Formats: sequence, structure tokens, C-alpha cells
Amino acid sequence: MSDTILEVRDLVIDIPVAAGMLHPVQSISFEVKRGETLCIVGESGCGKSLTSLAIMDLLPKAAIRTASALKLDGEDLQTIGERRMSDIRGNKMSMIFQEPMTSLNPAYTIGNQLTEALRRHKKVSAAEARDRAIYLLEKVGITAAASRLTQYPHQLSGGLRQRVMIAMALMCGPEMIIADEPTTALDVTIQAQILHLLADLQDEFNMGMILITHDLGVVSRVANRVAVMYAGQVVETGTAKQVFENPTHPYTQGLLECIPIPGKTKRGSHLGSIPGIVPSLVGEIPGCHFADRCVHAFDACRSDRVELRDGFEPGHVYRCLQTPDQSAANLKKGAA
Amino acid sequence: MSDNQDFVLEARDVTRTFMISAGFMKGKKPLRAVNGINLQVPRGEVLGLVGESGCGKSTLAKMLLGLLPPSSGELYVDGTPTSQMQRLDMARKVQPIFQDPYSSLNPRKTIGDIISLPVRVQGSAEASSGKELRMRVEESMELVGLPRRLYGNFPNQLSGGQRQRVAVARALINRPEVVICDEPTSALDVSVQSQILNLLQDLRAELNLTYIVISHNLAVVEHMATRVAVMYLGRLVEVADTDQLFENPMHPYTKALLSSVLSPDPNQGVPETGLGVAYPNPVDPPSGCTFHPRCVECMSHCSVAAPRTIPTKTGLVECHLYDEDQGRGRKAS
Repeated sequence: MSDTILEVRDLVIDIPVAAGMLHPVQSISFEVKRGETLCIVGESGCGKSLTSLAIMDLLPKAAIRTASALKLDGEDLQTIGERRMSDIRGNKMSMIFQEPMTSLNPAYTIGNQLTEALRRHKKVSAAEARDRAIYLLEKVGITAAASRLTQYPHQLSGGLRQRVMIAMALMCGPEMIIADEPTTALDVTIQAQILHLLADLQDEFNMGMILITHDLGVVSRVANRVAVMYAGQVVETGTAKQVFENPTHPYTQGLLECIPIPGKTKRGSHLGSIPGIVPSLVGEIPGCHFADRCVHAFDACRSDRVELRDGFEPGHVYRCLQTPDQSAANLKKGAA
Repeated sequence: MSDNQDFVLEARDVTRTFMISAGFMKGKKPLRAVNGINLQVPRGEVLGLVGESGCGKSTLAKMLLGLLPPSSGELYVDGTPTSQMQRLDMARKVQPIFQDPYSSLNPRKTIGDIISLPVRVQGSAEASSGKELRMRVEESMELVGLPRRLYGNFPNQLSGGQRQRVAVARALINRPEVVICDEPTSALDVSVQSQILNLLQDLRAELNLTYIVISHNLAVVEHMATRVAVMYLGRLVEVADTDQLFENPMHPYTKALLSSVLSPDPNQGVPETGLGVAYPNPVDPPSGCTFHPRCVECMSHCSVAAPRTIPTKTGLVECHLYDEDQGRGRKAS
């Protein structure tokens, strides 16, 4: 059993559209170790959700997925057939979808939906599956679990439904879990509980986890590693400490200035903002994708291909033509 | 008016009860979404209203907008009781900005139509002709930083940030005195969120507006608000100036809420809120202090008697801890 549970190398997703070829994900690479949490941050349309769907092989039919490596626990997900993939999906690797209001089937009971995957993947009796469902519902903090099994999704509150979604993803004891905005629709108080729960379960089962979110506060608190995505590319990646204490890419720096930070941002003052909008990903963009919105951009940014380069510390990389020193100087200037 | 202070909004003992079906053949049960609220909002203030979903924030907002009459109690806008006001008069003074600009703008109307609607409905002395109306709309668009060329566009041609600017322009075109912002930025991306918050701040100074900002993002509330009201199960459990509330929270619920704020800090983990038990069912609220099953400082009589409203230096708190007759008698001010 290797230490790395998920390996993604040069993942590319192309979608043919009327106007040409859409490139929502352009050569993304990362790996997730057992027991580790990778957070993918970015704004809508940056490709973070498509990346997770690509790993689960749940992309829309029109989308074309290529990668130089896409391996779960050493097994190449690109060459295995749909049959083997559906054995893996929901079993060895599962996903917590966003919006618990819409991703549960309103016509089936909670119990029915919880046990479906387990009955499909493992040879267990209905009674065993039911026991497992009750065990996990209790684990995710739902009281009176047995009576919940006969209820329908509309009888549960948002927080409870989200917990049911988490329990469902854990039914088969996955080794890898992808959580797409698991707490976005929830109250802050419940958010903290759900994040605790995920961390506890991760420790217990030694799962690898990808957490997709746009909430920088959540990311800084739970991530081991962070990947910041912008317009289909990873623009900065490193440990949470590296990315939050020494943000090096102008986009990461900009994002961190956009949010009011209690005790740090002056009340009522102007918050930072990133002018402009995300570029269209139809066709090729020469140069840096962020150049049009970047206050530090110079001519070369718009013409040269920008590769990932090393930051101050090993493991911290970013996609920018500026040196780490220049970036740090910009950050200081911005703060002053 | 009682005081010489200029309150643009005032709620006196406002209650709103909904009758909720308890099941087939079971009759209906009352749900007190807003349960006896007293609140005064001075002109020019930004009041942040926070609390978990189901606490009655939106019901209160609807009553302040005149969309829902209170079951009992009275609301005053500019010193006039709302029960004696016409619906349109109220709309001229209080306007909303909603959470999701993707669903709050009619997709089949142009931006010009959307922004001018309040003027056309409420009427206005200065904008009787079409030409004047268009001028008013363009003026309003300029105010919120929307290019004039978008006048004839449809909402689907606009980005999320631009749509929210349209919503702001629509709210402000008839120069209301109060704007109720219900989660004004939570549907927006981080980089756009800050632009809208900055815009709202600028407009307040420019037009001397009063805001009520409803949000579950406490960092946003701390940034925007001058005073904060914390709601729990239809009651205001604590009201205080922003500094006071964030630096010196009194009510245990406020403390728990504040501790669940996740500011970006990689050196800290996810805090333990101590709010173990789930939010209670509002149809069947707990006895005594409704917060007692989740309270870490719960005392024996908390489950028996409801706490009184205790005035503090900058607002109020409803908790036995600060009641000198019953609790540990902590100093409220």
C-alpha cells in the first residue's frame, strides 16, 4: 500500500462548444496522500468542480478528458473500463456533493439511499447495511438515527441533509473522498461541526481528502496543502502556511485582500478588489491568464507562456513571471 | 416620539406568528417567528442582524419592508406607525437588496426596465415623462458604477457583480431612507463581494442611508455594521455597538457565534463552538430561556424562567447571567 492515494498529472479537460473548443481545465497536477487534505480554492468557473468530476469519471458526455497520469492507489483510472470504475465510485473513492437540498432523491427514504451503494458494492445483507447506516448516522452526529432511516429528505433540515450526504459517502469505507463545497449552504455554527466531523473521520479511516471551496477561512483551517485555481490553471500551490503567510501569486494576494479579516481590516474601510472579469476559456490564451486583471502585469505577461516556478520554500510553487522577491515586495506595497 | 433622537425605524413589541400544520387531522400549531422584538434604528446607522437560519431574521426583514404585517406590536418608519401607512409610502422609504442577483432580477426585462420599476410603481414628481425617467435610471446606474450602455441589456448578459449593482441601483432610484440588505454578497465570488461591500459603504456616506445588513458572514457584519443585533428563536438576545459586541460579547450565544467565525489563519484549527445540540424546533421551543439546551453556562433556573431584557451600555442582553436578582449578577455594563 503506497502512501499516495491519488495521483493526477497533467489533467486536461476540453469541451467542444459552438464557438470553438472550451478549455476549462488546463494541465492540472497534484497528489493526495493518505490522511492528507488538499484544498482546491477558486472562484466560480475556475474549473475546480470539473476537476473533481473528472477524477470520479462523471464528466458530461461531451467533455474530453486526457491526463498523463490519473491513478487511484496505483491503479490507472484511464485504462480501466466503466465496469471497474463503477466498482470504485462510491466504494473506494466517493464524493460529497454540494447542495444537500438537491442531491438527495426526494422520492426515496434516507435509509434506502444510504444503503444502496453498500448493497451494490459489498456482499452484505439488508440488516447489515442498515446497521452500518445507523452506525454512520450516529457518527455524523444525528440523534435517533434508526428512526431517520424511514424519513424522506424533505423531513430533514439542511444541516441534517448535509450530514446524511457525508454518511452516504462513507458507507463503503472509502480511501479517498472528494468534498465539493460541503459547508457552503450551512450556518457557521454547523459548518464548524461538519468540519470537525470530517477531520475526525479522516483520522479514523486514514482517508485522503480533496476539499473544494471558495471560503478562504475554511481552507486555512483544515488544509494540509492548498491549490489555488484560476481560469483552468493552478496558479499557486503549497502548504496552508506557505500560501496564507506568503501568498506569492498576485491572484492569491488579491483574494486575501478582498475579505474583511476581523481584528485586522479597519472597519468600514475600503476592501481590496480585483478589477475585471475572468477571461473566456474558449480558444488559447497566450501568456498569463490573470494578466488582464493583474496590477503588476507587464508586456511579457501577455505573450510568454507562464510556467509554475518555485517560491521561497520547497513545495511552494506559483505561476507568475515575477520572482518571489518581487512578489513579496508587491505584497508589502499593497499593505502599506 | 419618546426621545429627541431621530429613529428612522422602530419596532415596539413586534410579534409575528405563523400557524403551522402539525400533521394530517392534527390542527395547527403556532410558530412565533418573531417574538416580541423592541428595536430602534437611528438614522445613518448600519445595523447588522445575525443569527442561524430559522431565527426569524427574514421574517423581521419582511415586516420592516411592509411585506408582512406584524401579528401584534407596532412598527414605526420615520415616526409613523406602519399600520397607518400606505404600502407605497412605505416602499418609498424602505427598499430591499436581495441575496441572489441571479434570481431576483426578471430575466425577461431589460436593465432599464428593472431599475425604473420602483419609479413607475411608486410614482415620482420629477420623473413624469419617459425622457426624465430614462435620465433618472442613467443617473442611478452611474451612481452604482454601471456603464450606461447596459441600459437595454438583459440580466443574463451581465456578470454576478453587475447584476448585484443593478439590484442596488433599483433599490436606490427613488432615494429611500432605509435599505434592507439580505445577505447582499453571499451569492457572489470573493473578488466581487468586496466591490459590492465597498459600493454600499460609499453610497451610505453619499446618500445618508440607513442599512440593515442581514448576514451569516460575521466578518462582513463586523466590517459593515455600526451596531449588531443577535437573534435567536425570534428574540433579540443581544444588541450592542459593533466594537463592544465583537470585543466583549456577553450572551453565551453571541460568544459561540463569534467563535465559529473562520478567519484565514493557517496556525489555527477549526474552533469548538460548544453548540452541541442542533437548533431547536421553533414550533416547540425549549422552556425558560430558549437557548438553555445549547448553553455552556446554563444554570438551574435557566430552564424554568425566561430571562428579562437587561439594558447595557450600548444595547441590551437577555440572559440570566447578567440579572442581578437571579443570576450570578455579572455586571451588565
